[in-house]
Amino acid sequence: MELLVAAHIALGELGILAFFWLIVELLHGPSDAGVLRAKGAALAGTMLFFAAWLIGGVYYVVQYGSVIKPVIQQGTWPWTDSIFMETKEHIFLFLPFVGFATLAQIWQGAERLERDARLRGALYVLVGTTLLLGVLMTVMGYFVSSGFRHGLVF
Amino acid sequence: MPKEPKEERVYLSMSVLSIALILMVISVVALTIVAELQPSVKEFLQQLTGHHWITKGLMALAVFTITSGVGALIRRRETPDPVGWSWLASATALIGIVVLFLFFLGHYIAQRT
Repeated sequence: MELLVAAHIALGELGILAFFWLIVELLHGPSDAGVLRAKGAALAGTMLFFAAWLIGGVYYVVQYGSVIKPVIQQGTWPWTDSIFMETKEHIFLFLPFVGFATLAQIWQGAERLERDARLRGALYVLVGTTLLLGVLMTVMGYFVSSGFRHGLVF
Repeated sequence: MPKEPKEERVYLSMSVLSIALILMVISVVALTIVAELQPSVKEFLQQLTGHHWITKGLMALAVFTITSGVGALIRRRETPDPVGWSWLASATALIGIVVLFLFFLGHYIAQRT
């Protein structure tokens, strides 16, 4: 089970890294090779987010509710589960779909990515939203794991 | 010899993707809040797949996929304002985050007082 949560975190962080790579490619002004790298980054990031969803979902359904949640709720930081985990588990659902929308726009618009400022503008907004969601997942995950430690210690 | 009509390829425009994202966000937020306030709804979601969160995830997948699929068949070219549509989808996602956070914060405070 420790492996599941580690894999969930690793996949999510790598997904964020892939989208960070993507925004760097967009800011750099994509050439032919840059467009190819941007497509690869979007594909990798989206697949990583779907994988993080699947792996994290197994962990959440199998272990979190029966083992982790009771420890947090009996500890001194029950709000980390009641507020942060409850919010996190639902807004996580947005992430793979925002990633897919970015992927679809890049793959379909690859030929005009270099000269179409409106397409790049839309992609900046989507990638920015993806990165913001990723950062929120990390911060909320920190609070949840802190709540668990407080449940074990106190 | 008459020209054969050019086959239009399926295209997911920014407007279609944004509408799919917006409907997915609204459905997740609304169903989550209703399920928390109405235990019978949460129980129903749990019975469907074994866990309420799995049902919500599958519903999000279904809403996004069906909306995108239908939209792609209706509109096969790019919208004139992709930036505006992307902002609309992102703003909806951000509002959804704030609404869910404030809801669970209020729910927690209400249970403790």
